[in-house]
Amino acid sequence: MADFGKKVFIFCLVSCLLTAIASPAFARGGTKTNIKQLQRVDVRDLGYPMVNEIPNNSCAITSLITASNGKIYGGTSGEYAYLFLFDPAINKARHLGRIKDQQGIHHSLVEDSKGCIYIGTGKDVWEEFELSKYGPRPGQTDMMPWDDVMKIFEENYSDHVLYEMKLSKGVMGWQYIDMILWNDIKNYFKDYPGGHLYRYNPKTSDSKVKLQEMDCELEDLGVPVPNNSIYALAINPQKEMIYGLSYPDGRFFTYDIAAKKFKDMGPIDEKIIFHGPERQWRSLPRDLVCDTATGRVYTSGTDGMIVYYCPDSNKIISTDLKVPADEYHAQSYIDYAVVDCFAKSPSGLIYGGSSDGYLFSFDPQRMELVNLGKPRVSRRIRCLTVGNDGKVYMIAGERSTSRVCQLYTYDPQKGGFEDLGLLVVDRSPYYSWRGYQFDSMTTGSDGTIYCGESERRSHLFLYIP
Amino acid sequence: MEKNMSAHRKTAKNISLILLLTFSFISCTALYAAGEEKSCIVKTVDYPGKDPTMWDGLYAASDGKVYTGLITEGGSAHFYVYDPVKGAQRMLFDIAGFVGERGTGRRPSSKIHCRPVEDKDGNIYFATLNNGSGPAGVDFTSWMGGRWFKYDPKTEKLEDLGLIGYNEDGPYPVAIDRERMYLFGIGFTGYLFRFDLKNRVTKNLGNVGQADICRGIFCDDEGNVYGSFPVARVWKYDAKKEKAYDLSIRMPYDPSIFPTRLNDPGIDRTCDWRSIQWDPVEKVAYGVTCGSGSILFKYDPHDGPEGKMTELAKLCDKKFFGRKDIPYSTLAFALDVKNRRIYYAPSARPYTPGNYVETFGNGEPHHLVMYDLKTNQRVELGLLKDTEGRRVFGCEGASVGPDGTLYLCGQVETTPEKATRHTRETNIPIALKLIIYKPQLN
Repeated sequence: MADFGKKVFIFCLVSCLLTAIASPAFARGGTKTNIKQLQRVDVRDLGYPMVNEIPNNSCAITSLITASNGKIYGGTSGEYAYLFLFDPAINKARHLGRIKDQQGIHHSLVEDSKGCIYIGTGKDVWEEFELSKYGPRPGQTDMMPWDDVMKIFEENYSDHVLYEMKLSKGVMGWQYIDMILWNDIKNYFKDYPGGHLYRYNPKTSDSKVKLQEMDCELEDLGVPVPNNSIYALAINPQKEMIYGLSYPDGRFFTYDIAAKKFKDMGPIDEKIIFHGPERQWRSLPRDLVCDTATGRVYTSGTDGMIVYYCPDSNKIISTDLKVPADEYHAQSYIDYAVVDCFAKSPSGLIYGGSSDGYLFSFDPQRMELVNLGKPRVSRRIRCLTVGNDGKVYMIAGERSTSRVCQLYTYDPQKGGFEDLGLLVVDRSPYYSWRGYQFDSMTTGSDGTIYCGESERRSHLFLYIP
Repeated sequence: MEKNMSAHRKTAKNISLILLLTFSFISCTALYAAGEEKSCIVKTVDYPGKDPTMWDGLYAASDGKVYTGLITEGGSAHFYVYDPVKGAQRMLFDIAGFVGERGTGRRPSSKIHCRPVEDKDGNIYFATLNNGSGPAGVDFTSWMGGRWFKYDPKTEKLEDLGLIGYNEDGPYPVAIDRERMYLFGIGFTGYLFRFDLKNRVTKNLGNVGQADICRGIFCDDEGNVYGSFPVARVWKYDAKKEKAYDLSIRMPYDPSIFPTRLNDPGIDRTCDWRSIQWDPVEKVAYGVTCGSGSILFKYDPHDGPEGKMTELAKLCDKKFFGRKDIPYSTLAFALDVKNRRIYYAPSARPYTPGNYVETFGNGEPHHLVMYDLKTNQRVELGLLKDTEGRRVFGCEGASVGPDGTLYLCGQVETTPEKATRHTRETNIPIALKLIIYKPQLN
């Protein structure tokens, strides 16, 4: 009987292995997409290959919008930031010029009521910089606001931690990784003059052909926050107001288009935390959304609460709604997630993704937040958009080389997620490409879902639902 | 009527006779030719372990010793050393055991899929990975990640230099910049990693390939690193800018040779180069294309803004000349810098749509080919057999020692007791062995 059992076990094991080996997924080298009609996925190069495409290391797409003229506009990050468009009428993408002395456009493209595009620039969010082991390295500046640090620690840490911290300051190297991290980040930005807000006029500039090193035709509106990148933008076209977030200081700012004036409204988050999953980033919200009905601008703030800028009171107000997070009930841990991305549905309902990978809906009329769950174990909803079919399309996953991003949908009618897997394009023998990293999405006027790849060598992906 | 019948019979008889003679002539010629085929006699050495697989993990070091990384898919990679003076082969390390993965229920460090590299002090470096090894039923996220390793032959100590990234994959090909002390490798999704040996920091330099990545990279005399990507393109890591850029230069490529699968034809590894080595004498790289009939080419990265490619010869088994069903290249490619030779052990398995495509497990005769860089001639070294007359089959690793000895790692006919595998179609018992070829050098 034992022998029989053993034989059955071996038979089952061998059958499982043979099935696995015979399956198409195995045969395709681990490439898994659940999209059944692959002709619905395609890519576009960002320009004419090897002539005027946006070059390697400058083409990570970190912003996408669908403009009122039906074109898709995108912004890139890397060695240089570029603006590009995809024109569905000609079925091609081409770049609109390099943005001088700027390295990134992160979640920072908006359109005004006249059809002008506003661009917020900054440093390349993906650029890696050296992290220190024991406090400031030679050549680095001690940029810690020690009085403020003491205050934060007094509020959040026990006496013995405080005592150790006081001991450590300037004596035996800094002991606290968060302080060292923050000092590294501040040093990385200390010589950076600050990201600019630019205006681009499609009517006068879309027709211009640009070669790789030619500049974009832009109007420079200035620097909202010195020594900071622009991290996210939103607009209220009716009020002609632009709203923004800065990085690394997390300042909320406004720009009055008519008056041509910036206003710094202060920090969006009082605490400095490093919730991850990125190890070099301060946790700050990566998107903003404007509810045009009320003029309120929503994002996340201190302790992961949904906050809004109220144009009537000219203040940032915190709500009691918390961004969904994976909470770990541990000692000495300030635990909250930030907003990764927002998308508005035609009904006015706002969908958001959190840095811990949760999708949530937020009803600004009822001030109600619903945690819709996580499509996968990995953290981060990298980008999302609401399709013309009412479904929410999102790309989830960390910036991992082995557990790469995947496409999911959420159907508000039925509830639940659908896993569409990897975005795989196969037009062999002409071209093929697998998308692993994405940081921007938008829905075209015909319902096509555009996904901005964010790699050393990037493409604009199209998915036709 | 009868006369006609008789004439017909006579004609038929004559035709039969002619056919018989023709057949006999062809048979005799074939037998004669087979009998005349030159053999390439090699010595073979067993590995003490039972690993059934290897890919590229063979390196003949400057001290004359030969290091091999063998693979047990779903189990552990093993690191071996062969001492030619003592004629002894030893297993040095069980990698999964070394890093503490055994007994944890995790996916283990099953593979060393790179040719180890050596620094100026004689230290040996390699990396591990799990991709493709499974076990298929074990949690994918349990894999802790690929690791960099340093082996010091003087002390015989292996040092785990750390994870390439938490939960991140390990590299297939590895290259070293001996001046700046950087290791480079590409993971299975095509990301290029650089490990700074001084500061022990891994940097992700971005995606340079895709899923079916190229299996060979090299570092030139200026610290630039090169790899290939579809379709027949080359990327370059620029040592000054510390970034990777795609070049517009094209590799030799024949798209009419079959891709690796025709049921779902795709742009795959056949568009890449399969193996490549830097030649410090000429300051060029010699490589073999993966598809296209295994074209040997020379790439001079310093000739012009993006370098110059020169096609030299086809290195596939000679039986495939003029055919389209040429298998894709093996990794058994080695440059003898001193004696100006290139050795290559091609696959003998004809490409058949829908069937297994690797050289391993094929029971047909395998040959060793040499390309003489002095005369620019391809030389057939003959049918591979060991000194006992045992057949040598597919090889997937090659390296040349300081004395010009060629070392290969491949499947060799063995006894049923010692077999780790059997050939697929012919059920011949086989095992991986270190194969030693002592060439006649002038």
